[in-house]
Amino acid sequence: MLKKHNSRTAIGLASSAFVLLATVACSGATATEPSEGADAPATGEDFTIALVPGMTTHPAYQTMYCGALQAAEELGVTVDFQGANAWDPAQQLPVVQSLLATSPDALLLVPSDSSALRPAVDQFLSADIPVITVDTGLEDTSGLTAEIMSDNEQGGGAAAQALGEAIGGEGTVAIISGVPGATTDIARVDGFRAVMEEQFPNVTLLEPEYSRSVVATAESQVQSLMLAHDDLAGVFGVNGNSATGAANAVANAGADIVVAGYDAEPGTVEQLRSGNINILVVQDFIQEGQLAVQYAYAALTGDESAIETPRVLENIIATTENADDPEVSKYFYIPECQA
Amino acid sequence: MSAKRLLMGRKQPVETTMMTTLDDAELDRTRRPRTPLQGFGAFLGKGDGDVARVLVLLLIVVVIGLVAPNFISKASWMALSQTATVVALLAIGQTFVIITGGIDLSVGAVMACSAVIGAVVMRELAAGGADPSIAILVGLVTSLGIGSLAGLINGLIITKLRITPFIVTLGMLSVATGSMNLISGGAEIVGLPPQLGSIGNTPLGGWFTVPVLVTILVAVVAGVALSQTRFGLRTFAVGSNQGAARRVGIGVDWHIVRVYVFAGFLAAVAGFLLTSRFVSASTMAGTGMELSSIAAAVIGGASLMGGRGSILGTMVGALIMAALQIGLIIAGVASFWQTIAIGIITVAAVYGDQIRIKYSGERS
Repeated sequence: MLKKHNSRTAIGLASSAFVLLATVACSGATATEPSEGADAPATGEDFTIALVPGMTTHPAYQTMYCGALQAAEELGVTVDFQGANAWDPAQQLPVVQSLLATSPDALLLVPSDSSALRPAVDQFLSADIPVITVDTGLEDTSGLTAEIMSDNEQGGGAAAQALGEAIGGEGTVAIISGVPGATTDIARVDGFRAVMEEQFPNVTLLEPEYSRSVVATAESQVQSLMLAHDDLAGVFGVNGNSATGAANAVANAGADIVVAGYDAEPGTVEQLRSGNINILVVQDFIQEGQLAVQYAYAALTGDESAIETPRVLENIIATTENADDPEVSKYFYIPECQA
Repeated sequence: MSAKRLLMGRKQPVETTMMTTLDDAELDRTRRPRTPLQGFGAFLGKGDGDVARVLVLLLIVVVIGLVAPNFISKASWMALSQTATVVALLAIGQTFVIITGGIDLSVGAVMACSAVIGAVVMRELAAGGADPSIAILVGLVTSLGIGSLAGLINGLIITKLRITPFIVTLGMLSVATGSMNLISGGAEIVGLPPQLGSIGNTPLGGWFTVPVLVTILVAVVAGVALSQTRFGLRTFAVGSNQGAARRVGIGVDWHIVRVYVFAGFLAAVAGFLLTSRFVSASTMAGTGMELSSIAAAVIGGASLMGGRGSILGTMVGALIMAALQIGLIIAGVASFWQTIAIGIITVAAVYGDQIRIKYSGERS
């Protein structure tokens, strides 16, 4: 047996090795997409456009990346996809700052915080590098070439329209939101509420419950709401996890309740196909990626008239019935974009 | 507490003076005639306050049931029991840790991490054409292994590097969350064998699902282990007075390591049961669960100073939290008021327990 002193040292060594390993693994993952044209000077149309998503591995941003690659191929430019592994401004900021050293011709950014990323954006702007925000936005939008975002209010409204029709405009409807105060969730709930109240006046709309995006919490909340309201006819889960939890509660109870959800991640799409989720709001991430690259190209070639800002994209409604229609399923998120 | 006396009485005859004064105090109390109120107080204090806690739970159930009669129903029980399982399993491990005078802030993250990694293994095996039951079994073993490993690392760093449990497990919370996101890409894991769903969701005998039965089984085993075995006695001894425990020859470090491994193992059990309920593993599943597990243990009478706590109390604590979570929605309480109510009741429960201890003359 090791002496106490030795075993302490051993554990210390082992833990530092572990940390080192994790760090190496992290940095390896961040640099998945080394840019090919980074060293070449930007002459003519040989542009390198940096795309920094909210988090690299999420299906939504993999889908955006695929859209960006499609546009890049048409225009003959290079896309440099760099980002953090988690939705965290503290991790995204260093990625953005280090990109400045590679002098990309344009920056496409999904800010993970509406103000924390602004100083880094200013550094790009003062280096005369055009910046376009995609999907989420910045509070201070001055100097940005364009803003591209999906319309969360329209998405919530579209969910209300489809849900209201599915329940025949009668009964009680519940909302399971994510974290209180999240701006995208608030916009979705507002849009949902506005359309539901205007189009379906006979529906009783409950105040939102907050699942904090924990599936099990969303499930127990919907189970409780079913007990509290005999006439519960529909549930709107404003994000993937809330919708999954709601769907599970309804399916286990064998209740006749329509579930509407948001975002076509692999999990929610599986639930949509099996009929546990009936309605799904899908964001058009392919188009977000395409537009971002097209706008960057337009800015670099001086074709400012091609840019429409802010550009707000509408969402698509998928249902269990049309989930296998290629015109709908082409919008479902791609788990991993093959570059 | 009882263990402390037991231990001192057995092994440390030096402290006889203290024992004498204690006996005097006890004698004093027994001499005085009992009023009915005192008698009721003594009744509440039975089982280190567990009787009082069960009564509080019943009171909550009755009050919510009067406001919203639907709360007293089978459907409500199914929701409540399912909800309570996660917090209960995490809180049982947490209770052992808290009794030793430690704390485990990593249980939620370890639960999510072990569940997600186990799910990735199941998904890959299923995609590779493995038999579903083999895939599920390997996934289970992987999950339990990851959970125990996280506990082992916690325990070793705490005992060998002498870093406080708060810091070590806070670090583990971060490491487990990060590792989970590295492996899963931060996304929900789906594409698991559908047979998992029948484990998690089929009610046996109509009233109890597998996760609920497993939780009850774990609670019984842990309760017996804590109150009836040498393992439990040592857990109290380590938390009451670590120095004394060391002097009487208890392998304190090794015991602490085992307790953290147990907490990590139970976190993995909770995570696997969650995966079986949703046939998917979410990276968000552990959010805030470390605090819920601590709250359940503390409502259940565990002292953050160590040396005190019981599994029955913790189970009642978990049930109180689940009853509030489910019941307040059924009673139509607006969502922000629910969180306020849970906070107030947590503090009130602990205060009530302290009052009870003060008047019953026990030393806590």
